[in-house]
Amino acid sequence: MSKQASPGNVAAAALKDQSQERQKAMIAEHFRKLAEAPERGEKCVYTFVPGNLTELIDSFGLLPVLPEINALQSGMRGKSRDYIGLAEKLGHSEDVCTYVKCDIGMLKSGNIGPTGERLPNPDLLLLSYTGCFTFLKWFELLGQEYNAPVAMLHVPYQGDGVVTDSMRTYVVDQIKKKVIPALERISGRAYDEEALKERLARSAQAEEDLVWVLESAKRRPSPIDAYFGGVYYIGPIFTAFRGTQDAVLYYRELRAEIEERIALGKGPVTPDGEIENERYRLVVEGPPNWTSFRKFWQMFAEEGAVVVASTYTKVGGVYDNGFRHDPNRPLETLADYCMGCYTNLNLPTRVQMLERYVREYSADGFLINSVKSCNSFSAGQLMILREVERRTGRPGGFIESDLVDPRYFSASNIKNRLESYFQMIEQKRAGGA
Amino acid sequence: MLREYREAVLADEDRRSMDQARVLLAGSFCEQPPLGLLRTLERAGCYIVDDDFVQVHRWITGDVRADGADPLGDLVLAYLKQGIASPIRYIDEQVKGQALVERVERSGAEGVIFCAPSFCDPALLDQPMAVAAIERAGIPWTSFKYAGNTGQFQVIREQAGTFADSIKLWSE
Ligand code: SF4
Repeated sequence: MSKQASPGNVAAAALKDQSQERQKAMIAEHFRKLAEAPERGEKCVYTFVPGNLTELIDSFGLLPVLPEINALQSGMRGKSRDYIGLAEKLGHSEDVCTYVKCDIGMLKSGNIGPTGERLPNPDLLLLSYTGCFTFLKWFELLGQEYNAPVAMLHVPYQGDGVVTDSMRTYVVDQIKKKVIPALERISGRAYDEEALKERLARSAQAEEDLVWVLESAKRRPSPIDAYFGGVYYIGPIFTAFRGTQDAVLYYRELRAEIEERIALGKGPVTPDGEIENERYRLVVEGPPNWTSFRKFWQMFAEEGAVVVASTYTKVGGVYDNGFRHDPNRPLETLADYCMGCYTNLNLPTRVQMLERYVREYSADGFLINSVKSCNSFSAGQLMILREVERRTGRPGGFIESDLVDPRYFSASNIKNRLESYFQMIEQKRAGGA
Repeated sequence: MLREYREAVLADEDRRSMDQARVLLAGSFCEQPPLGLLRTLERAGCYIVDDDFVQVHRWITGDVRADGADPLGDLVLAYLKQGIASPIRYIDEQVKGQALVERVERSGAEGVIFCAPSFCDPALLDQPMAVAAIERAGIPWTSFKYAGNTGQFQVIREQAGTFADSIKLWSE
C-alpha cells in the first residue's frame, strides 16, 4: 500500500482557498442570524435538504433550518453518540434513521447548533416530502416537540421515471394553496413573484458553475474528489444559500480555483494533502459516514483512489442532467426541482445514472456505502450493485457504515473490504478486462 | 363462517375463559406477523383483543357512498377522508395516538403491545408518539420488535409474560 497524498502544507493551502473561506463565513453568518432571530423577531422555517424551497422561503425574509445538516454537523463534531443515546433512552428505536435520533437528542440537550449557538424553535415545519418516508415522521415528531404548525408538500415519487404535467400541476397547486399561504401567515408578507424570480435566476447561475465543477472530474487526473470533496462543494447550494448572491460568488470562485488546478495538472486535495498519483477512479453510491469522515476519506486517499462521481451529491438536487431553476416558470421550476431530487428517483433511474457515471467518468469501478438505517438509500442497493456491474462490466464493491452513529463505523472492516476491492480492480486490469 | 364459528364456541361448554390479559397489538400494520409469534403471545398470557394486522384490507372505515354521480370521486374521497389513522398516513391536524387510545377503550384492552417488524420505519418512528398518547391515557404498554424469518420468540415470550402478569397483578 503506497501513501499517495503528500502531507500537510497543501491541505493547509487549500483551506485558505477563497471559496472555502467564503463558505465558512456564510455558514457562520447564517447561524448567527438564527441565534439572534428570536430577539430580532425574525421567523424561521425548518425544512429538508431534498426538496427545499430555499428561494421561496428567502423571498419572504424567512430563515431556513435544515435538520439533516445539523445532524451531520453533530456527527462531525463528535456529539452524535450522546444525542443518539439520549433519543434511544427516550424510546426511539435502534433501527431508524440516525439523523432523526441525533436531531431529537440535540433538541433535548438544548438545541445547540453546529457553531455552538442556540437554534431557534421553528415557526413553521415545511415538510417537503420527496421520496423518503422518514421525513414525514421526523416532522410529526418535531411538530409535537415544538408544538409548531406543519405545511405538507406532497411530492409524487417518480415511480415511472418521468415527471408528467399532472404531477407538476399537483405540486404547483399545493405550493399555491398550502405552502405560500403558510409562509405568508408566519412572515406577515405577501407573496412576491418578482423577488422569487430574482432568486431563481441566481440559483441557475450557481448551478451552472456547480455542474462545471462536478464534471471537471471527467478529466485525468481528476482535479476534485466528487464525494468527500464534493460534500463541501454542494454545501451552499443544498442548504440555506441557493438563490443568494453569496452562493453565486462561492461557485464562481470555486470554479476559478478548479480551473487553476486543471491548468497546473493537479489532483484533488485531501485532508493529508494532494493526490499526486491517481490510481483508482471510482463512482460512489450512498451517503458518507460523518463520525469518522476524515478517516474514511484517508482510506481512499492513501490508496490513490479518487471518487469521480457520486449520487449523494445529487440528494439536494440533480443538476448534471441539464435541469436548472428557471425564473420564467417560478413555481413549475420549484415543482420540477423537488421531483428531480435523488431520493425521489426510482431504482431503474438510479441504475441508469450510475451506469452513465461509470462510463462518462471512465471509472474503474463503483462502490456502495450502505447505511442500513437509511432506508431511502439502502433499499434496493444490492440490486443496483448487480445491475450496474452487469451493464458496465466494472467491479462493484459494498461496504457498510452509518451516517452519524459511531457504533456502526468499523474502521478495520471497511479498510479490509476496500483493500480487497482495490485488489479486485487490479486483477481485472491484469486480466485485461 | 365466522358467525358459525362464534356460535360453536359459545355452545362449547367445556371452554372456559382463561385468566389472560386483554391486549391490543399495534405496529404490524402492513403484514400478518408470524403465527408462531401470535401463539407465543397467547401462551404468555395475552388475549389479543384488537390488532392492526394487514390494515390495507380495512383501510376505509364505514361505507363508501354508493349513490353519487361520481363513483370514482367517491372512492377517492373515502380513501382520503375515511381512512384509518395508520402510521403510514399523514393526517393534518390529528392528535397523534388518539385513535389508538380510542381503540383500546372500544376493545376493552387492558394494555398495548407495540410489536413492529425490525427496520419498519413507519411503525418504529411513529411509536414514541403513540407511546406518549398511551401513557397520557394511563394505559400500560410494552414494546418489542420481531424479525419475520427467525421463528425465535423466547425473549418475546418472557417479556410478554411479565407484561401480562403485571397487568393481572396491578390492574383494578
Ligand atoms: S434519506 Fe436517509 S438519512 Fe435522509 S432522512 Fe431519509 S432515511 Fe434519514
